[in-house]
Amino acid sequence: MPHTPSAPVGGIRVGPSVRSYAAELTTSCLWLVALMVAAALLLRLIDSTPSLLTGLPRGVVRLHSVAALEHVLGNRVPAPAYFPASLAWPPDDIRMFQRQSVALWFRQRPTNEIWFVQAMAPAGSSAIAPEVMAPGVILQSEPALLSGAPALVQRIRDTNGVVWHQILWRTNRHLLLARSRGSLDELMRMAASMDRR
Amino acid sequence: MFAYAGQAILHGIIAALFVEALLRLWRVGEPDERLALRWLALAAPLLVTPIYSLAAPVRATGSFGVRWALFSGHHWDQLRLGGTDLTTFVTLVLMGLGLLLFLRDVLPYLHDRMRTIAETRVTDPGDPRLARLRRVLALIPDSPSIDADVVLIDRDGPVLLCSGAGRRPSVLASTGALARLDDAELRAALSHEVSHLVRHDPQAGWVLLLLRTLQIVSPAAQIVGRHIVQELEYRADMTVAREGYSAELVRAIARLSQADPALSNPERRARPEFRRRLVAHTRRLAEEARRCRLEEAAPETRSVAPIRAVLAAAGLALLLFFVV
Repeated sequence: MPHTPSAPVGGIRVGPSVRSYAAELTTSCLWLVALMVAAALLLRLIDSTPSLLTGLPRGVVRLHSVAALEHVLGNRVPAPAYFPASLAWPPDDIRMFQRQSVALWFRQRPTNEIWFVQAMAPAGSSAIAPEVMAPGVILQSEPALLSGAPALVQRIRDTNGVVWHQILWRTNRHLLLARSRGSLDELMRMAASMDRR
Repeated sequence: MFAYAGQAILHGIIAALFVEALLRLWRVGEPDERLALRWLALAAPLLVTPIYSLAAPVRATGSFGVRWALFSGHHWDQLRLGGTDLTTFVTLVLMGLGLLLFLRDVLPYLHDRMRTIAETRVTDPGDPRLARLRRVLALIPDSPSIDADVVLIDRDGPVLLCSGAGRRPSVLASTGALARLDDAELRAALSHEVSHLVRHDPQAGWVLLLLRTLQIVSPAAQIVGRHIVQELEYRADMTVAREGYSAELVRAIARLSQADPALSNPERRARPEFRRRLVAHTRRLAEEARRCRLEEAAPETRSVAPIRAVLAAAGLALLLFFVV
C-alpha cells in the first residue's frame, strides 16, 4: 500500500483519517446547528399561528364568559355594583395574558361602541400588561381618593385618538383599572362600587 | 396530568421528526448508528419531559411561555373547536391515535405468540425435517455461540423466527417454511435469526414493548417503535449480506411472503378487495425496499457515530426545553 504523506496542521502532522474524521464531525455539527435553527423557526411560526388567526398578541387568550375567566383564575372577578343601564352586559370581549392580566370590554347600548374597560392584575404587579390593554398617551394625571383609598385619575388618548378617563387603584388582591369614555363622575361611582377586598 | 401527557406527546413528535431529519442530513447508513438515534427519539419524552417538569418549573409559567418558549401549547387555547379548546381536542385525538397504533401492533403479536405456543411441535429426533433444520443451523458460524433450542412447528404456513423469552434462546421454524426453502435459502434465513440472537434483539424487543407501553397514547412513540423493529431487521439483513448470502435471503423472503396466509388464505380473501390489494401492494413495496438495501453495498462504520449520538441528544434536549 503506497504511503500517503500527511499535511502539517498547526505544527502537528496529522494523517488523512484524522482529517476526514474532523471534516465529517464539523459537517455533522453544521447540519445539526442548521436543523436546530430550522426547527426553532418552524416551531415559532407554528406557535404564532393562533395569534395570526385571532389577531391577538402572543400569549393573550380570549375567554367567552366571566364564569370561564373566574374558572381559569380560580378567583371571583371584581365587578362594579353600580353598572349604568346604558352599558351592555355581558362584556363584549374578555382577554387574559399569562393568567395574570385581564381586561373586560363593554359596549354602550345605543352606539354599540366600546365604552367601558375594566382591567386587573395581581396585587404585586406594577402595571396592567399592555398585551390586554394598550396604555395610551397620558394627557393628565392627578392623585385622588377612592372610598378613602389612594387612586390615580387620568385622562388618556388611545391609539385611535379617542380620549378616555381612567382610574387606577390597588386593593389587597388586585391592581385595578377602570377606563370609560363617559363622564368622570360616573366612572368614579362605578369604581367606588367595586369589591374592595 | 392531561397537560403533562400533551407535552410528552408533543416532545415525542418533535423528537421523532428531529431524528428522522438527522438520519437524512447526516446520511446515516450504518445500522447501529441508525438504531442509536431511533432509541434516542423513543426515550427522549420519557427522560426529558419529566426531568424538565421537576427540575425547571419555570417552564410552566406564563412569562416563559411568552418570552422564551419556541412553542407553547397554551397559545392554542384561544382557538376553540366543538365547545373545547384546540389544545385539548388535538391532544385527545393524538392520544386515541397512539392507542390505536399500539393495539394494531400488539394484538396481532400476542395472537401469533399464543398460537405459536399452542401449536403441535415436531419432537421426534429422527424426523428428517428437524434433522435438516439442525444441520443447516450448524453451518452458521455464530450458531454454536448462542446454543439455541431448535423448535419445529407443524404448520403449513411460513414461520421462521427467533425467541429469547425462555432460559435459552430458540429458533422456531414451521414445516411449511422448510418445505418452501432450499438449503441455501434456509441458511440465509436462519443466519438472519441467529444474528438477532447474537445481538440480543429479542430482549431489545421486550424493552421496546415496555417503552411503547409507557407511552401508550403517544403516536410518535408507536411509529418510532416500528422504525426500531425495521432497523433491527435491517441490521440482521446486513449480517447475512456480509456473509455473502444476500441473494439467497432475498429469495427466501420472496418465497415465504408468497405463502403468507394474510395474502393467500381464502378465508382472509373475503375481506374487501381494495384492502387486500392495499396490503399486498404495501408488502411488495416493503419487500422491494428490503431487497434494494440488501443488494446495496454494506454501509461503512463511522467512527464519529458515538459523538454524533451525544450531539444529537444534546441538541434535542436543548430544543425540547423551549417546547412547553
